[in-house]
Amino acid sequence: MIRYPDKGAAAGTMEKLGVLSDAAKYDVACTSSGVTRRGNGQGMGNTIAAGICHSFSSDGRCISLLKILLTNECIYDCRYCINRRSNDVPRAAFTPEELCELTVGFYRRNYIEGLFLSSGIVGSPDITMELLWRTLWLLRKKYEFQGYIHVKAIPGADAELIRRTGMLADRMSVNLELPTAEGLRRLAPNKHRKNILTPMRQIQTGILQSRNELSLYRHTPRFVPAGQSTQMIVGATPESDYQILTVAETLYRKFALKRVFYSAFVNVNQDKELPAPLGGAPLLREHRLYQADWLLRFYGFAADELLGEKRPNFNILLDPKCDWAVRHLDQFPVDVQTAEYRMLLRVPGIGVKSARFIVQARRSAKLRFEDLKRMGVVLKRAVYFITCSGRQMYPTRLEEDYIVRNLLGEKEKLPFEKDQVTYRQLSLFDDLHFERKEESEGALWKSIS
Amino acid sequence: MEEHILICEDSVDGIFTAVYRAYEKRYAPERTQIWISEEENLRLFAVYESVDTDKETSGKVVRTLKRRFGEKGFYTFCLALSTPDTGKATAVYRTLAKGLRLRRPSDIFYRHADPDVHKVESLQTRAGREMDHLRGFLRFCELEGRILYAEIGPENHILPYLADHFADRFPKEHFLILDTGRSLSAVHEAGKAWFLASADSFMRENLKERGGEALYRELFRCFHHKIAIEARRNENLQKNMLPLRFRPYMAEFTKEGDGRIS
Repeated sequence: MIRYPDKGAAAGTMEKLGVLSDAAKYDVACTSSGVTRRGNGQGMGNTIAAGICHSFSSDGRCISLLKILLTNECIYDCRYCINRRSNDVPRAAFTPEELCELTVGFYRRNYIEGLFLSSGIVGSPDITMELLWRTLWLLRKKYEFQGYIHVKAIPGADAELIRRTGMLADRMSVNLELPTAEGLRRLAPNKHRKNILTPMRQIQTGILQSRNELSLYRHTPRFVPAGQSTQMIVGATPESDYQILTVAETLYRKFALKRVFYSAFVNVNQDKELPAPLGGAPLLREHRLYQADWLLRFYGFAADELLGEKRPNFNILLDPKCDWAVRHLDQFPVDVQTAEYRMLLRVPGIGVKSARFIVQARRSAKLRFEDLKRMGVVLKRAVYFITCSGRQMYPTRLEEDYIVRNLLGEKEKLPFEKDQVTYRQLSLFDDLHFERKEESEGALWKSIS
Repeated sequence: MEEHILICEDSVDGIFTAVYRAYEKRYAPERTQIWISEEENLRLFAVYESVDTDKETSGKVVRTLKRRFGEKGFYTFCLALSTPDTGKATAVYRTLAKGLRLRRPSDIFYRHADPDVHKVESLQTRAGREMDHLRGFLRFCELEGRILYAEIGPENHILPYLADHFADRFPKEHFLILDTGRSLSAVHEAGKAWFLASADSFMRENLKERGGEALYRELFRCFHHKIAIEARRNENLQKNMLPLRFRPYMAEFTKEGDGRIS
C-alpha cells in the first residue's frame, strides 16, 4: 500500500516539501488538541485531547502537525503574505496522493501527530476547497488515517464543500488575518471581512448541530470535533491591544471559537504599506496578548477589566494579571481558606491548577504557606495578596508603589530574551506613521450576527 | 516504638507484595516503610524484613486498588512507582493506606497538603511529563519485514505505558521499542497484544533497516529546518521545551551514520 519514492521522485518531493513548508510557516496554530479518539483497531492513528508535541523547531515553537500548503500558487495579492501573486518566489504544488503518502510516512515514524493543511488560492476559492476536501477524503478513506487533521476553510468557498470537508477534519480554521476590517481593506485587497466571517459562522453552527445530533445518534459522524480556531497578525496595522483583545473576546463569545492565535508581524515583503519594526517582530506584545487571552478563557476576566479606552495598551513591565491586581488593591488581601475560587484565580501567582488544589485541599486541612508552595503557588508574587488563617506570610504593605517595586524586583520569566524586544520603539513608530482610526467594530459584528 | 522496614524488589509486583505483607501483619503505616534497596546505615530500633515478590499476592493488591481507587487512581500509583526515586514505595504505601480509611478512597488525592500524597503526586507528574514527551519524541524507523523499531532512554520505567499508547495507535503494525537503559523491549505484533521481553532476545546488530529510510529522515530534517522562522530564532526556548537528553534518539537532531543501525 505504501510506496517508497524512488531517488528521482524523492528529490522532487524534497524540493516541494521545502518550498511548501517554508510557505506555511507563518501560520501559527500547530496544536493537535481538543479531541480524544481511541484507535478503532483497523486503520492507523488515534488522538488525545491534550495534544502531543513531536518536536520543537529552532524558534522554540512546537511541531505537532505536518504544517504544509497544498500549493503556494495564489491569485490574491495580500501585502503581508510571502505567497502573494506579485512575489517572485519558487512555486510548487503537491497532488493529494503525494501529500497523503508523505503524511502517512511521517505518521508511521511518529514524526508528527497529523496534518495541518492549508493552501494558496488556485483558480478560485471553490477549486481550492475541493482540492483540500479531496486530499482529506483520500487520507481518511483510502489510507484509513485516523490521526489529527486541521484544515483551513477558504473564505468565499461553497458552503457545501466546507461542510463536507468539516466532516473529515478534526479542527477547522478561517484566518481573520487582521484585527479590523479597515486593516484588511488596506493590506488584503482581495479579502473581505464578510467573506471571512461567513464560513466562521457556518462552522460554528455546524459544530452545534453535530453536537445535538450526537446526543440522539451516538455513531453519527462528527463535524469538526476539536472546534474552530483563527489567527490574526499583530503589529502590521495600528490597532491597539485593547482593540485586538476586544475582537478576540467577541470571537470567543459570539463565534464560540476554541482558540484565537496571535502572530507577531514579521515583515517578509518590504512593502511600502507595511511598518518595518525596528526591534524585529513584536514578541513581547504577542506574549502579553497570549497572557491576556488565557485570562479571558480560563480566569474569568473580561477585556474591559484589563484594558480600556484610556489605557489601550498593555504594561510592558508587568504581566496583565499583576497589572490588574495592583490597580484593584481594594479587593485584596484574600484568605486562601475562605476566598471563592473565582477570586483565588485573580491572585497573581495562583494559576488554574493551584487554585483548584487549594479548593480541594482546604476541605480537609488548614492551609499554611508551605502547603501553598507545594501546590505550586508562586509565593514571591502571591505574598502581597493573600493571607493564611488571617495572617500574612510576613508583614507587607498593601500599597501600589511598594508592591510594584517588589514585583519588578523579581525578574519576569519571558520565553525570549528581553533585549531583543523593543516594544517602546514599535509603539512610537506606530504613532509616527499611522493615524489611529477608531473603528466601529460593534456595527461590523452586528452586520454579520 | 519500633519501626518496621520492608525491603523488596524494585518493581510494581515487588512493592505491592510488600504492601500486602504490611497489611497482613497489621503494621501501622505511619511506623512502616517500604524500601526498594537496603540502606547502608542500619537503624537501631527498626526491624528489617525482606519480601520475596509474589505475582499472585501483588495481583490481589492490584485488584483491590483498582476497585477502591478506580483506574485513574491506580494509574497514578503505577506512574509514581515507575520513577527511580528511593522513597516512592513508602509514599505510595502510606498514601494508599490513608486513602483506604476514607469512605471514598480516591478523595485522598485531594489532600494536596499531606506530605505523602504530595510526594506521590509530584512523582506521578514527573513520570507523566516524560510520558508526554516520549509519546511525541520517540522515533520509529522501518526495518526489513515492515517492522517499526525505536530506541528510547527514559529516566522512568514508562515503557509499558508507552507501548499501550502505540499499540492503540498502530494496531496493524509490527513494532519493537527498546529501552536501552533497562535492556527491555516492548514487542507488538500486528493485531495482537504486546508483551515485554528482555532485549537479549534479539540481536541489535542483526537488525537491518529497510532501504529508503534515510530518505524519510532527510525529508523530515528538511521540514524541521524549513518550518522555523528565522526572525523568531530562540534556541533557549527550544532547549526548555525539548531537553538535550532526548535528542540523540531523534532523526532531526542527528546526522546519518552516527550510532544508528544500518
